Amino acid sequence: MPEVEDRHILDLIGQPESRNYGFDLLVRKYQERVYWLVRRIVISHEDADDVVQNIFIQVWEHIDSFRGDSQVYTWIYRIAVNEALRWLNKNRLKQLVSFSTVGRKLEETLTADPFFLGTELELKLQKAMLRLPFKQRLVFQMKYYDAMKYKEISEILGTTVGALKASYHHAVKKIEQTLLNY
Amino acid sequence: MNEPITGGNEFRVPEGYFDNLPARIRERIAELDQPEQQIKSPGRRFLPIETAWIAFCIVALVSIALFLAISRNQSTFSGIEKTEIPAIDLADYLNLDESTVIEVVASEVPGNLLSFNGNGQGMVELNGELFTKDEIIEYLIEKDNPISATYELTVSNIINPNK
Repeated sequence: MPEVEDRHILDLIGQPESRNYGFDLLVRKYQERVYWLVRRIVISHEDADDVVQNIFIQVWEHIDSFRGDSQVYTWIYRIAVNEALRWLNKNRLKQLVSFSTVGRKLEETLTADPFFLGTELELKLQKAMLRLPFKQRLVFQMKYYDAMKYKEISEILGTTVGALKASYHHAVKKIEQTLLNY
Repeated sequence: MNEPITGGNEFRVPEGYFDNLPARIRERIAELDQPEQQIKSPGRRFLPIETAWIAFCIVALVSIALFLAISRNQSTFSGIEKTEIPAIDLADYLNLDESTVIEVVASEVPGNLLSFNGNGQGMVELNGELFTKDEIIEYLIEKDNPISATYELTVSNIINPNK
């Protein structure tokens, strides 16, 4: 399906008779990118499915307040990051554990995940990523997997480009160290 | 580490997942848009107004009492005890690594306002005053989004928390 321009999608959503159709186009356009961002955070497909649905429900509820001062994808990505963090926090509080313990539990989920088809090295990389602090893991994902520019990441996370570069640099160093220690 | 090891396909999704996802999202939205069905007993209010008012007054009184108690205990940002704030504790709270916290705070605050111990522990010294760990964390807890909280950790925001 050829990609539809965001402006056209927003126009459709802005009109009552085409709102649902426009929203459908929006979901189809961004669902995979959002899904993979979330999946790498929460690991399990079932959890990713829940979070992704919540994200697009938030998008539906707040689309009229989107002012166009950023790209649509940046805006959706910001919602996605907040929802993923909310999920992690909920998990942490439910189990009364720290973020690092949540990370270890996610490692166990990853090892047991029947939907993970990666090689041994890919498994090690994913586990190494899970040991990073949440924000740093996000930055790493967005640079490494999504090849996003620092400026785009900066708009999403509200972080300076300099801090992002430092964060990515430290993330790479830590992952390299973890992989070497395996 | 410039090229991804995989094309991102190390995870799998059930077949047809993305084809069906938009419809499933639409269904959930439709469910949320349904008006709530309330079961009411005939001739009785769901909650007596008198009970609701009493509950509201109790909540209001408790809130006022808490607010007054917190206000009395709230310390100012001057004349406090000199205390070390291990940067690692701050980082742990924010789920950021110590070096990132140091880098970001250093980039936001002029160099002569920050000093760090050589033993790897962080000490936040702003305008000649030191802030306790509890004060910093209390400030951060007040923020809605912990992700953005660190990057507002500037001198002016610490000294004027109500700004």
